[in-house]
Amino acid sequence: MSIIKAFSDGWRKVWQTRRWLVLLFVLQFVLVLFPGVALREAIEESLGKSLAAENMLRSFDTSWYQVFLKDAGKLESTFGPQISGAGAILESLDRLVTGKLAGIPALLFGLAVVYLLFWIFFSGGLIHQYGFGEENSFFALAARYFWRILGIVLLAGAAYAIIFMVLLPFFSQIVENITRQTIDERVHFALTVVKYLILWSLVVVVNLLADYAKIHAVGQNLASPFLAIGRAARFVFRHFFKTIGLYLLVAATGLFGMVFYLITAPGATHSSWGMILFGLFWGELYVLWRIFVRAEFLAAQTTLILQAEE
Amino acid sequence: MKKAGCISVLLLFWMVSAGHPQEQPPPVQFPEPLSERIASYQIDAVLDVEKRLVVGTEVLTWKNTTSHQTDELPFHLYYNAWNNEQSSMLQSARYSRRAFGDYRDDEWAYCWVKSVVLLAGNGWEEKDLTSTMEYIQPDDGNPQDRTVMRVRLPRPIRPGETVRVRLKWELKIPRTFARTGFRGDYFFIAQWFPKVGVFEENGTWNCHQFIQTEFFADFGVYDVRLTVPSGWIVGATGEEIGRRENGDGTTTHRFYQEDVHDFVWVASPHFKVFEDVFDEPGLPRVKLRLLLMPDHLSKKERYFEATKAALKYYGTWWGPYPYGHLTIVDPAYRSGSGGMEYPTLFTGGTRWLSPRAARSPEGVTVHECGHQFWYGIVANNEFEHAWLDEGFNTYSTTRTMEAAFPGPVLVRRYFEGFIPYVFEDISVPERTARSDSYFGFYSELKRDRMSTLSWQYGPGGYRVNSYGKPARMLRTLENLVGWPVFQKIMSTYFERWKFKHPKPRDFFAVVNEVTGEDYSWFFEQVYNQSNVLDYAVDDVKYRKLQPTKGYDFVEGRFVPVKRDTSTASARSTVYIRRWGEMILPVEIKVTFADGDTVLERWDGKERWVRFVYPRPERVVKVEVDPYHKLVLDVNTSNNSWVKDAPAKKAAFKWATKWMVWLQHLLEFFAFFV
Repeated sequence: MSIIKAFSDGWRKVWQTRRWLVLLFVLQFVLVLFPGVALREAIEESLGKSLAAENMLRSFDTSWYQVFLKDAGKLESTFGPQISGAGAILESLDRLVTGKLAGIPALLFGLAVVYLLFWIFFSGGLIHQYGFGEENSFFALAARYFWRILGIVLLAGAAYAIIFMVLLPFFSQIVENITRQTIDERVHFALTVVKYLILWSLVVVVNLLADYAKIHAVGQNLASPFLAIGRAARFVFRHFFKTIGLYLLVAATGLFGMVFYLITAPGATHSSWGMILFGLFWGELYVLWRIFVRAEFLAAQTTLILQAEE
Repeated sequence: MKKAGCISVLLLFWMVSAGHPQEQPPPVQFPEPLSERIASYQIDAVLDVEKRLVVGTEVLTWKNTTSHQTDELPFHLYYNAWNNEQSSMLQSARYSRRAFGDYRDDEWAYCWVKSVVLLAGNGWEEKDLTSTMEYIQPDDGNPQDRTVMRVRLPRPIRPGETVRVRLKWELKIPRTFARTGFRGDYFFIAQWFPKVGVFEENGTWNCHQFIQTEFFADFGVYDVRLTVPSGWIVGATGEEIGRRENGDGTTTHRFYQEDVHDFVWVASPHFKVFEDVFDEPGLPRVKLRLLLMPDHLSKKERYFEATKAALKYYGTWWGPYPYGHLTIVDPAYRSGSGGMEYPTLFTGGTRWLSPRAARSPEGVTVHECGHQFWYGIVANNEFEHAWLDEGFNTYSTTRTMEAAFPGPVLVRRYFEGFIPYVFEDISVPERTARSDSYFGFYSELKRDRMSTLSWQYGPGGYRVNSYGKPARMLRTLENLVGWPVFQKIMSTYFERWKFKHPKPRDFFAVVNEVTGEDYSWFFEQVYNQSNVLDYAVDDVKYRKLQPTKGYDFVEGRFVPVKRDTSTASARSTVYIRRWGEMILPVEIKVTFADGDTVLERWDGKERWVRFVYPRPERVVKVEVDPYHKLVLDVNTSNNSWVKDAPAKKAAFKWATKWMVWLQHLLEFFAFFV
């Protein structure tokens, strides 16, 4: 059993299911298209015939933006110069790391929930195809496993909630107490890094268990999410270094892609149609890549389980 | 024990009254006094690190330079603003919403005056005034506020007479409030000693409670001995002219400064000390001393660079810095003492990770160093007219930053604010200073008139009326009169009011004098009213004219109009509107399809104006205030009209970026399934 083999087999399987992943991407695109169109209209109306339109085409007009914000609703207020270029990633990454992902307007949170349901639905079909044959139609498989995977996700969600809503404030308070008299920012920074390392170690464990639980739920046809998580825990415990190693390898691949996009993401200063469309295309390509990486977690982990059973 | 105590008290009394005969007399810094030196202090203070106390004795020498007499001396006891949450400051609009739950009992403060003695000399007999001490509340009558104390004298101090009083006090140092206090073994001690009010020419004391503003005091000479643990670095107002090891693990540092109106000090074992010299042709040399915290060592050159930029540009534009030395303090992390000005010393502030584009410490350094000029030298009453230094200095800061540093760009901080990221391609406007964020500017501007006394500003009114609006006012005035004239206004005002206490009317008078015109109409609107300025392009019409039809009146009779198709042409009409109540003259630039431009001028007195252009080329662009002279305009996005504005394209560009951002956000959510 080899991490590298599971990793590479995983990619091969991901490629084989590319049409479903592209479908997921399309669904996501359609999901964001509606608020995107609404925002476009709001911006266009606000810019009107003013010189700000030229400024916004060239770069970003902060004076206009303050006026725009003044009348902005909750959806529009999520728009700002910080979403351009690398900011498109950094803003959300920061929210993810610091546990503030849910702090977005209700409409966007609703979209996120819908998108998560898509993922939950697709997961069953994908996992089945990654390791357990293609004898049934994808959608039939996805439907068959939907509820049991939803159960696992909800249990994992409860664990994430405890981590971010209970442990994070608790750790933060400890760091605050320790640094109450600290006069060196580096000390506070180091302790904050330690705080998040501990926190994210727990998140990774939950994430890992949830992934393997989903695979067990599909592969061993387990209806009970508790049973699936129990089996996953046993598997992870027995193959601890391999499961962690594979997880980190896929995560590293994802991070590599993220860094590449952060460096290459078009910023605010392009104004030609060609560059505008390229910016959109490049951003969408990277979103698609991220969907593939997320699927690679499932595919590689499925392969690892199959290898272990051989 | 008692006997030893008595001897110690006598010794201290002798030292204070005789002026430490074993030490050298202080050097004369200015043979010709720069100021009237009304209130001078000799202070001996001992820092008790463990108990976080400062125990001190001060001798105030106060001279009555007015034509009135007074039989009382009021003192500011600023530290009593943090006795508890019932003080007027913590009940004020500015602070009342702040929670102090994280302050432990021993982290609050007090300034406890234990005795006040009138000293013999200058026609006075020694007398203990302690029993006449009383807390007074001249501003709001809040009996829980103990920030002003008054003592009664046995007889009035006559015009021209001098009086000396000795006060003994104990100071409990708080966890930082209003930029003074401790954090760990970092002590920043400001507004600390009992400080006499200002006796004004009208025969009344100006000694406000400490509510929401900064400060006001008379110039004088400060001779201060500070005893701190040996090995600690001390920074303070003035120059260190002596240091004595006491043999008990403490060291006494003696600082001396003439012609200043406050004294501040900082002590910590962690500072790294660096020195440099400001040496600019045509300006006095200034020795710079930088006290830097260890996590900011990489910012050393940036602190010096910004300080020199401020000394250079303020010195060249307004007037030279006269003191010859300046201490820059890099405050400890989260000490709450950054970004504050004191005579010959100021605090900057920066982060461990702070790229140049973040302009930190540059921005705050220029601003606080700039206060040496506006506050330190031209010393207005910050209780009542904070804008005279904050506004002047904000304006001067933005000018200096424009002259000395690259323009600001967007910087966001991530990971609980530790990690900065620079958006190089998104610039942020400089010239509107702190109100460039627009947030609340429009509405808050209407909440208070700028002429309201600073300590009386309502919620949100202090910041906008002390910083943003006056800075915009000065920039607008500069644009109206032109830089050479405006520079002369400011330098004349500086020269005339240095080491004095100007009021707003003094500045307005200088404006009128230098320009030779009456600018009351301007200040009446900007200063005395809370109206806003907002001009806009209302509409632009273009109409092709058809050959005239109907009748004409020719030679006493109506006749059919002669048709002449060759005269068929077009007409453009531009409507400009004044949405705000403020009226300032404005320029309008109209551009035609053939590239021709017309510059119109409008006095703005009516609500709207129409400009008609009977010419075949249509108007393709209209810009109200095209050269951005009227920085007071609260909404510049309605100041233009472009025939083919690319709003659709720009909206598409940014909406697609937002969509990509949203998709990534959803992908981060997907991590959890």
